Formats: sequence, structure tokens, C-alpha cells
Amino acid sequence: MHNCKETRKLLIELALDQVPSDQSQALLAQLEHCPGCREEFASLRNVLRVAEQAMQSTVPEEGFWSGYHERLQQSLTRDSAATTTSFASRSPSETGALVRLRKLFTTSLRVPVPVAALLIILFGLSIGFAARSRSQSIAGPSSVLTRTVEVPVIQERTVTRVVYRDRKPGTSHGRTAQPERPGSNSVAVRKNGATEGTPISLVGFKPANEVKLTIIKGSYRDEK
Amino acid sequence: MSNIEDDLIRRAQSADTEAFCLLAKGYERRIYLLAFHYCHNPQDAEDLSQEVWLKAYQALGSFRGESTFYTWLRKITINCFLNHQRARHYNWRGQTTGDTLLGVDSIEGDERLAFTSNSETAMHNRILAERVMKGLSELTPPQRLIFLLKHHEGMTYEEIARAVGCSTGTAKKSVFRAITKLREHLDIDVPSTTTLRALQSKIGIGV
Repeated sequence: MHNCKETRKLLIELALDQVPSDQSQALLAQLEHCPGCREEFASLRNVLRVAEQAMQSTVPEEGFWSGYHERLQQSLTRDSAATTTSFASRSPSETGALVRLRKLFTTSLRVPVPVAALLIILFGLSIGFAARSRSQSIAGPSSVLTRTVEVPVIQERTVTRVVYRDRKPGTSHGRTAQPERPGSNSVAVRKNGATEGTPISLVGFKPANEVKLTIIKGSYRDEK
Repeated sequence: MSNIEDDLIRRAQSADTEAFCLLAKGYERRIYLLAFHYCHNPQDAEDLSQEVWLKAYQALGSFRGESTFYTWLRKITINCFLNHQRARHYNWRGQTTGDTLLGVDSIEGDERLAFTSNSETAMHNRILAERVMKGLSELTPPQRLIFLLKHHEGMTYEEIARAVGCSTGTAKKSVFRAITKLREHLDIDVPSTTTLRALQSKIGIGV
């Protein structure tokens, strides 16, 4: 069954004589029955023939080729001479080393795909771990910041002593020290300072065992 | 591969320039014409084709005989053309003149004469060639290369796609586009036998 669309796909190749002979015979038989395809084929064939003829007419004449070949020979000789010179200027040992080095870098090994994939993954992981540990070792010390801060520590000692005094008329309370009674361990003490003109004796005084520590935050200058 | 060619390749692989030149002699016209129709300038075509030969000479050590020598050489040619196209865009438009095709303005004019005489046929061919070149100049370099590979080299679309690095569809489209351009420039729009005969008689081509 003739199908114009399918036939026309092959017309260019048919016009260029690039279709196998059996297929070509079948196509030509189809063209006999389809004027549209036949005209299209005739047009294509003529375009390609004219183009072929035109291109053939641009072929240089024989005299050109001898000169062309000569120039090609010259450029090849120049090229090979340049290659030879570059090799000849090196010592044999140098050339051998270069050849070995080149072989080393250009030699390839056949590795199965799973092994290659595993190696690539391991390589990637090792690079990842190395980068991570490096970043940690760099970041560790720099995160600790040493700074000296002045912290005033005030030690307070509260001394409490009960003092018994005889109340006698004419004496003001706490203003004058009473003479010490024999046998008594009371001591005339005036809180926050000594009584005027009276010597203060701390005989028999025992400091308390408890020490009250008060830490005041802030500078000592803020202290009241 | 013939025994002679085989022997020449072996000798050329051991840096025998003479052997390589003999080997090149068998294919140099084909490569030059491909280069000429690709870049459409005699000087550029010579530079490009000689570059192909130098690359082939340098890479000959890698030729293992798995394909024919020409298939291997064509691969180098295509790569060379594509690299050239990437490195530098040939300014096709307006570059071609009848004198260029005739070799009048070439460096060594006597050698490059494309036509043997200044006869009427030569004149017709010149006009025809100009039209073809103008049609091809409206294509992109890869499209032009694909068309040349199909038209000159007879490669299949699959081979072209592999060699050029495109899809088979792209290769087909490029060839179709090239033919459309040629049709436009050769005035073969109406596919009738009468018109074709008229055109052929006009440009001096026998049927």
C-alpha cells in the first residue's frame, strides 16, 4: 500500500542512489502510480544533479594538485623535523625518562564498575572526614576565651557578746565604762567603737565559730 | 584495506614521511574538495585540508586498523572542520565570486584554475556553481557539513549523527534544509519536467 508520507521520507536517499537495490525497485514501482511523489522525486533528483555538476565544476585542474601535494609534503617534513628536533635536543636518558613518565600518566587500568564506585565512595568519605576533623581542630581552641574578671570577696565577721552592766543612778547608758568586777568576765564594750576615755578590754572574748561570707557581685567601687 | 595501503600505513607509523605522502595522495583531492565546499574559499580550504593531514600524521600511531583508513581519516576531518567552525566563523556571505571559483584571484592562479577554458559551458557552470554556493551559504556550518557528508560521502543519517554528534532527526532536517535552499537558488521550485528541461538547457546540462 502506497503511503506518500513514508515514501517521501526516502526520496532524498533514492535521489542520491543510497537506497539498497531491492528497496529502490519497490520505491520506483510505487512512484509509477503516484504522480505527486513522482514529481517530487524528479525535482529532488534534478536539484541534486545540478548541485553535483556545479560542485564538480569547482574541482581544480590537474596542475593544482602537484603544487598542493608539494606543499603538503613540505609542511609534513617541517612538522616531522620539528618533532625530531625537539626529541633530538634531549639526551637519550632524558627522552627515556619522559617516555616512562608519559606512560605512567597515560596508562589506564581496567577496574570493575562496583570496585571503582566503592573506591570513589571511600575516597569521598575520607575527604569528608578529613575536612570535618580539620574544621573541628581549628574551631576548638578559638572557642575558649580567657578573661580575668575582678571579683571582690568581702569577709565579714560578726562578733556578738552579751555584756551585763550594773545600772547605777547618775550614769548614762553606755557612755561610761564600769569598773571591772572581780570574778566577772564581763567586759565593758562599746559597739562600733571604744568608749571615750575608757580602755576596752577583750579579755575572755571568744570569737564565734561561724564565719559569714558575703560575696558581692560587682566592683568594689559599688560597695556601700 | 589493500596490502599496499597497509604497508604504507605501517611505514608511516614508524615516522616515514614519504610513505605518509604516498598514502595522502590517494585521498587528498577528496579531503580538499570537502574542505572547499565547506568553507568555500581556496585558501581556507587548503589550510583546513593541510591541517587535517598534519593531524592525521600526528595521530597515525593510534590507528589500529579497526576501520578503513579513509573512515578513520574522515573522522579526523569532521572533528577538524567542527573545531575550525567553533574557533572561527567563515564569512561565507558575499565571499564567493566567479573569479574565486575560477581561481583568478587566488594566490597561485595558474594552479587553481577551476576551468580549462573560458567557453560558454564554463560560464554556465560558473553561474550554476555560484547559485549552489549561495544556497549552501545560507546554512549553518554544521548543516552544511551534514549535507556534504550525505551528498559527497554517501554516509547514512546514523553515521552522520554519530560523527557530528547530533541526532538522526537533526541530520535529516539539515539535509532537507540544504535541498530546500538549493531548490530556491536553482529555481527548481516547480517539479515539472518541462521546467527542468528548460533550466538544464539554460545552464547547459545535458539530460
